[in-house]
Amino acid sequence: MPVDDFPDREILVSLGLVPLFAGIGDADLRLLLRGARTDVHADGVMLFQAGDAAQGFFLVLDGHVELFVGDPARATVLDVVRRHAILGEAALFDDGCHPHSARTVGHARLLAVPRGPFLMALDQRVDLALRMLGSMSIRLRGLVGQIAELKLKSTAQRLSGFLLGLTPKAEGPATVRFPYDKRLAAEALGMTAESLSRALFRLAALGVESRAENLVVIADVARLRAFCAEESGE
Amino acid sequence: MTLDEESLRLVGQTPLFVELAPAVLSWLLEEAQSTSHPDGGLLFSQGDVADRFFVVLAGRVHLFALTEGGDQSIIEVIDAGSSFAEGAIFANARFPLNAEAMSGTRLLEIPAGPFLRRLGERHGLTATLLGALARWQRRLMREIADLKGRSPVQRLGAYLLGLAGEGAGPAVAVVLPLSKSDLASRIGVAPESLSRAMHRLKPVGVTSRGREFSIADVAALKRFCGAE
Repeated sequence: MPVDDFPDREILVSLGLVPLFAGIGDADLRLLLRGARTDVHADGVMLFQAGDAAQGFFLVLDGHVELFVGDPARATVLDVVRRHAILGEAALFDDGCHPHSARTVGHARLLAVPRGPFLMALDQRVDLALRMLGSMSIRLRGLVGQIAELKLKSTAQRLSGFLLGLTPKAEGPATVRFPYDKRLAAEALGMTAESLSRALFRLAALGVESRAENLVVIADVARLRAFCAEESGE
Repeated sequence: MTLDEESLRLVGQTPLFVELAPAVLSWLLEEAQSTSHPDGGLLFSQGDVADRFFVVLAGRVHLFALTEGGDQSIIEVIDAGSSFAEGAIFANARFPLNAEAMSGTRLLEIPAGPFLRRLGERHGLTATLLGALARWQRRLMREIADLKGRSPVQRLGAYLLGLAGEGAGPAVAVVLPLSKSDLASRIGVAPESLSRAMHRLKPVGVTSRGREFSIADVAALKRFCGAE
């Protein structure tokens, strides 16, 4: 449904949550999105096929889209993308052809952005292009941080397990001593000295305090045990 | 300065630059300098004007904040092949964190002025970089979903399937390109859980000898890993 005052309020608000468009004012968004439209697609609608010249890119507003290669009937699925992901980014490359095909999984609401006006706006407004690169870089840095945090959680859990193994207590406070220096302890735990220190820092929030002479004070053993058992997936 | 071939290759693999042709990349980075930091040291402090950004060619850089007590709290560790601080220069802003190079680090330092000017001079260049970041965003989102939604055993299975590649099957053998302890950290499990995870994949038809894994039934492993 192409609308005169596209994009409407609701779309503008949701675009603020998308890394590519975060922080861009309404007037500039209208410039970038000339000719764009939102559509609600039924299940299994083919958006583009591998090898097609990319006419534009899509932003997932709601629902899921499957990226795949091969015959649609016997497809090899590369990814199932969700809200706020961009697909068809080949449209932004010089001689962009889609490297894979894309079809909806269930109902999906998509913003389709045509290539021409978008590229023209970027060339005319370098300031705008740089701002988008900036907000995109910063938001992606945040995702990298989330990944590190998820991995760190497993490191912190490993370290907690090790510390808990040094005390017979099941609850209450305890003071334990690393049986060897922290660098060796890190090695024994299969982590680098840096991840050990980050994991210790992470555990500070759970009442684990690192003291001089390789001592570690655990404020509440039961609480640390609970953290250790959290969503470890084991 | 012209980039040497090895540096150009490494820089060309960073998510931001991966879609650029080598000739375009070397033109874009013509003013960049490669610097060595044999003893490590502070690269910039939080609040400094962001007048350049970096690609780590070798070694490692810590981005850190200072706690009230004056301790370093490491926010991020940047390894070879990754860029950092580009967000700050695009935003024409100040560095949000402190950066310290570990000893033996080699960096490519890219001054903001000429880089930003050249970005605007060549038709379609900013679009290409945005497209590359869009692709990277999808990869990161997927990795997060994988870490959140799958057990360590499923993550190991998914990693092996990734090695086997698209359209592999019905049975396939793969060789780990990294050590088992690196694999453990790559998929976010403890090294000792890795052997347990490998053991748990046996009923699904995955067996291993050293770094070689054989998958007897790719379709069964896919079902097990919940690869939709």
